[in-house]
Amino acid sequence: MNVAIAVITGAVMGLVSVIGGVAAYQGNPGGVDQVKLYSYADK
Amino acid sequence: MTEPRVRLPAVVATVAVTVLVLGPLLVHGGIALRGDMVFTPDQPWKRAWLGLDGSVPRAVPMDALVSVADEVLPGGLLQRLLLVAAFTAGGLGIARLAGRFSATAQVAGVLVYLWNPWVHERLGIGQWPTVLAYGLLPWLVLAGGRLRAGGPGGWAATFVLLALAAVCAPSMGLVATLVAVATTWSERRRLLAVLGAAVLANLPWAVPALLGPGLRGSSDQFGAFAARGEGGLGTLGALLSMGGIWKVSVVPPERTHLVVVAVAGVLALAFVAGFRWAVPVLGARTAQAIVLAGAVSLLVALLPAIGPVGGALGSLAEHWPAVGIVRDSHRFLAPYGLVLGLGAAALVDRLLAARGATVVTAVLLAAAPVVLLPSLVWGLAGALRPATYPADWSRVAARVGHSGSGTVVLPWTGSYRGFGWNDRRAVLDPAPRYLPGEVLIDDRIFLRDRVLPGEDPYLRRVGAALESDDPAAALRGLGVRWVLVEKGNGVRASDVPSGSVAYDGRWLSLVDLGRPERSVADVREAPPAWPVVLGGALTAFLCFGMITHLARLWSLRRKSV
Repeated sequence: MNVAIAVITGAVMGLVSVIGGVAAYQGNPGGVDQVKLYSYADK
Repeated sequence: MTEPRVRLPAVVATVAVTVLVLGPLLVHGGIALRGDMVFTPDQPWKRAWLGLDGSVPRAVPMDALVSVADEVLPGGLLQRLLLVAAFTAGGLGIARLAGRFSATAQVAGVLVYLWNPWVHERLGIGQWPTVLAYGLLPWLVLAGGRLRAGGPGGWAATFVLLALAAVCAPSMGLVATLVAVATTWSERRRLLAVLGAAVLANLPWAVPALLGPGLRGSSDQFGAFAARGEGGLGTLGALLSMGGIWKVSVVPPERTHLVVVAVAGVLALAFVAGFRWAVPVLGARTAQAIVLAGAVSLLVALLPAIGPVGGALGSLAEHWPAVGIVRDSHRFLAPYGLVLGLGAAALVDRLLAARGATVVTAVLLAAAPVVLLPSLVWGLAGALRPATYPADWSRVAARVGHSGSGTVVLPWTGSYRGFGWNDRRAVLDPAPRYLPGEVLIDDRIFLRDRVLPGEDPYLRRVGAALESDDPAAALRGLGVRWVLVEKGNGVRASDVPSGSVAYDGRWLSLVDLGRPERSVADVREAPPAWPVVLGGALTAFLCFGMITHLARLWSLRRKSV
């Protein structure tokens, strides 16, 4: 049972690390921190 | 039971987290400018830092302390020291609270307390004082325990920490009061005394807030600033793992994925459940205090996000602007971090004691915070990279000098700017902290879909003056002489009142409207000076006395060892 928990925990951590790592690399899809500015594209 | 102590791996973990998170600041020169985090090379002293000018006392008295401190230390160095202090205090504090657990358990506590979405998101909007106050919370719990036990220095340490938290931010003054009350509430006389101490500790910002001109609250602010869901999981789901900030663009990118937020939420629940193993180690009273503070903070963070509650608070804020202090409800989640940090330490300690495969699980759980939030590394994945102010700024500051006249900053469209030399990151306009004298910026808040009205009546008059037929004359009537144009932020030539160009550089230009007949101080309603100064002086005097007392106790203790 303990072994199963350890394996499942490891698998979940592995999955999350891949998803999270890729997402962190790609950046925030909601846009970088924004201020409503007029003269150029918001960043 | 063993004496609590911070084990070396926890110290190493604290240092490692500090270096990994603040990396860009530690290897590059310049000043990190992001969101509300604004430092300047040499912040001039002004009445506003004590709340004496009639403006909203949001950064009172922290700005006063920064202005004094950077007479000795450059602003860039001061910024680094304060941020390092925030992480160091937080890491060592939580490790000290978990002082009877194993080294690995303490490391887990440090990682959960420091490496989490709340810290990420608060740094993301530049609220460094809030993070600094968060770092003080474990020490406040320890001080409260000492106070309860009648130990030497308990009262002094509690007062100093309450005052330091209040200096960081008014909202964190309230959070610290919650934690102090939770640790000491069991006896009525002591509770009243702690509340009295909290009132004294918060005087520097509370007095100008109460006596200042009638500020106007907005009914819409709670809808805009309440905590919200992440990754599609809903507000409570996000808050459970300490996420949920209102500003979507600073949500860590991995937190936009349901799987990550869900796993983080499940882990948080496991840590909360694990807290029960911390009870015999912390002591029932201390454990109870932490759970109480954590539960209340979670509730305060959640409630404004519930439609009817947020609406009711918004209506209340129209008549009673002080209610607006809880609009950014996610900020108040700070004490919940204590529950998670200590729960994680207790759970990991328990799993390690069981031996076998559970050791692997324990190590994985200890590392989970970093796995779940990789974008916190290296200054929020580069977002905290420092920049250098162009020479225009110091030249304009010298030109404005100490003329005693006000400076209006354009564009008059909210308080946040994007500068090409700062990679166009949205940052609170540095002009009030860079230029001497009264520097006036628009206090309306421009969100993606709406504009929240400003709170300051004087600034509304400035806005009206800029819209008038003769803005130069109207502004001089309000005590304004200078107009600072921040180029690249959408200012059109027609927006600038007519006057002589006193400076025209690549990034800034300065227009002289002519000397006004009155000063801003003559026109702007401000609180009476003596109660504000008296309140601040009283708190400072008490703090100084308490710190001296604590220093003497520490010295005596060292001699007796």
